[in-house]
Amino acid sequence: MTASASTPRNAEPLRVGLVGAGLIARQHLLALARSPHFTPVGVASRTVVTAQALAGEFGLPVAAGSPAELVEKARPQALMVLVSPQAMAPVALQCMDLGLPLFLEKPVGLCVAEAEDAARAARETRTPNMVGFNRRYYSVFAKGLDKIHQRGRLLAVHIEGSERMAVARGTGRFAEDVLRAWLFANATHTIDLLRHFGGEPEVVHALCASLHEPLGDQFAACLRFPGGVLGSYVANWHSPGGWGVVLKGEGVSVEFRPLETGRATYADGSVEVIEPDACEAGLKAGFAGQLAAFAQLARTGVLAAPAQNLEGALLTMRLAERLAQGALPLG
Amino acid sequence: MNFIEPDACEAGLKAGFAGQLAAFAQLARTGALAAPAQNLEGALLTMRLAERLAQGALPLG
Repeated sequence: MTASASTPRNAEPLRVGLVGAGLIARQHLLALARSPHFTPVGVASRTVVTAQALAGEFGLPVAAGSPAELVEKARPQALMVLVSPQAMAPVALQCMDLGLPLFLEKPVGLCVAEAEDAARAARETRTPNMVGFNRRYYSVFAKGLDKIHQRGRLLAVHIEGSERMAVARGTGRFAEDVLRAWLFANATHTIDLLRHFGGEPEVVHALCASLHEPLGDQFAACLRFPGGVLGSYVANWHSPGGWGVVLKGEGVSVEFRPLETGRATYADGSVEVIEPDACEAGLKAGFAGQLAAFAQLARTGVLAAPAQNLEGALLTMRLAERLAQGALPLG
Repeated sequence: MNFIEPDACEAGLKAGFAGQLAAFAQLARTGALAAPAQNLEGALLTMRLAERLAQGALPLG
């Protein structure tokens, strides 16, 4: 999505407040600094000194100790909730009482029940909301899909979503309850891409096993999407591999591995590199596009595809739960 | 990155042909077919698996 597609000509940037002052908030502030859609006006954190440090670094006028205080002092027109995974659901519920459009970093909860509660609360409070599945906004994905559709139809979506559990545990950044719920906390990034590329799966045959992780860490699934598009999902969290997507079209295959890079291979053997948009350079990939979509939501109330709100995020959480169903311990 | 190199004896041949000939020679000499070789019973299992994978193929859109 481009700036011109979602922002009325001569529209003033929207005043946005940030709830959360950690690593991901910093990434969003870097993107906000280059966004024509928003002016960040303040940051809130339970630890006010952390909010003050981040506000000082980015020149934000307000540092607050709570979302309510942020709204009172900075008068934002929209809020971005960027707290830790374990705090996300309760803070999201708290912010729904503030009457502002919400951008919610994923995951919105560490289990399906938490995501259901958040989605229900958003419905009841009529809170416009968007969940940050930023990978849906990778420019290489849109270009790769274009190359598939130029030659015909999408035939298959294959995704590898291997997590690096040893690395995740080794960083010391994540609480044990987040690590135990890693399926929802992080693996939903790649699981959401099944829905992004294929649509809502009509058939899912899933197998899951567990070497170490309580919700499973070995996944193999076959899926059928609308129109008969076939899909597969594999993930082996204790083996090197990482994340990758392969799209199969008529006479063309497109591969994203790592996800930020693209390569199209044609039936004659020729290969074309797919470059990301120049405007993404220096930013976390997809953040510029997702900010544009959130601005459009805040201005118009309309959440345009491929954005996901809490209802969409809940479908991804449920798909994750389905992929992990019946995990068997490995002998 | 460490690459896994094929055996030097395979150079210039269709990959796997040298090993499969050795297995066939062993079968001819001893009557024993050693793993990972497959006889017709094993080939039938692969054919049945292929049939299973293709079961219920639906026309696309």
